[in-house]
Amino acid sequence: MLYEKLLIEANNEKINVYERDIGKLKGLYVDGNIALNLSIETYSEKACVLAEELGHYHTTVGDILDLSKAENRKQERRARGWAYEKLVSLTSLIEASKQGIRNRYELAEYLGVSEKFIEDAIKYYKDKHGLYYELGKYIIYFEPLGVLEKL
Amino acid sequence: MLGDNIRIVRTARKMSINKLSKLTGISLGYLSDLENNKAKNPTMDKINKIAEILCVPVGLLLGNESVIDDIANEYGKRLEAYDKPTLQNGKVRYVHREMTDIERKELAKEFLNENPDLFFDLPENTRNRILERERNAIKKPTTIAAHIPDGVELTEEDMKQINDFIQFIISKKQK
Repeated sequence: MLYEKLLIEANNEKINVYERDIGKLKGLYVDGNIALNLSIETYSEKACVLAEELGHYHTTVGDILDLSKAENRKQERRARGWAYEKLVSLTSLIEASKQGIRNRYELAEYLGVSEKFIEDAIKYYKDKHGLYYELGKYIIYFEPLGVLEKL
Repeated sequence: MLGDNIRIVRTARKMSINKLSKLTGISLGYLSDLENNKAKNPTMDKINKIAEILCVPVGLLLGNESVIDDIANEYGKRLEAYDKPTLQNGKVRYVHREMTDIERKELAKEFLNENPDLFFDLPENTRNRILERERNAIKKPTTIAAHIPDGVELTEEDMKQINDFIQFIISKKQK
């Protein structure tokens, strides 16, 4: 399972992950320690939140709680980007297409993440690459989502 | 420079380099290199140990801005007035005058950068307060991020949860 895979990865990086009551917050990252909200029900959503917090471990420096600062928002976006590229990688989109997956629901199921996360990831790729991205002999369209193989 | 600071503070404490070596467990040769600015990359462990034995904030030895600021604040309070050199009719005259708080602090900072041993001029309880503040500052987490839904700002309740978690981690570390 994706969530467990990420937990093992966190463990290898010596990051402590705690599932605990943190009110309305979904996740927290503090100096190599991650708190995930106990009340998150599905494993797919847990995986998504955990991936973002791992993204903070890999990309964030400093206290970025105050998101009204542009610099902090930038770091937040970078951490999320790390999570998107980790869980919804471009190669996994190609792979999914080869498996005959055609809609967002099936894709979420296939990758083990929430549909909202897929939506955000696609939006992130669109902001980053534009409407499509060429990868080897494939072209990935982000809107509508689809993969074409070049002849 | 770090080496000069260590030497100045050590001499002010009337401690021989031999004794410092014994108390810290750092070899005499290395300490000597450190004081002569020949050893460029000492580990934080070593610096912490030296600061601990000499009873000074680590930041004072390292020239850490926020720590120097803190000490200058306290030290500045002790600078009442000074003789400011001013040019009058082409001659330098010293004019006795009061200083503003900012001037006091700036002057204290200047003094401290050259003479870290001025730290010992402060009363003992003030020194302990400064040491305590430095310890707490080190405890404060450096990297921290929260996962909140887009566009929603952190509430007081969220901040409480965050602080709870930080306390939880600190208590784990101490065990």
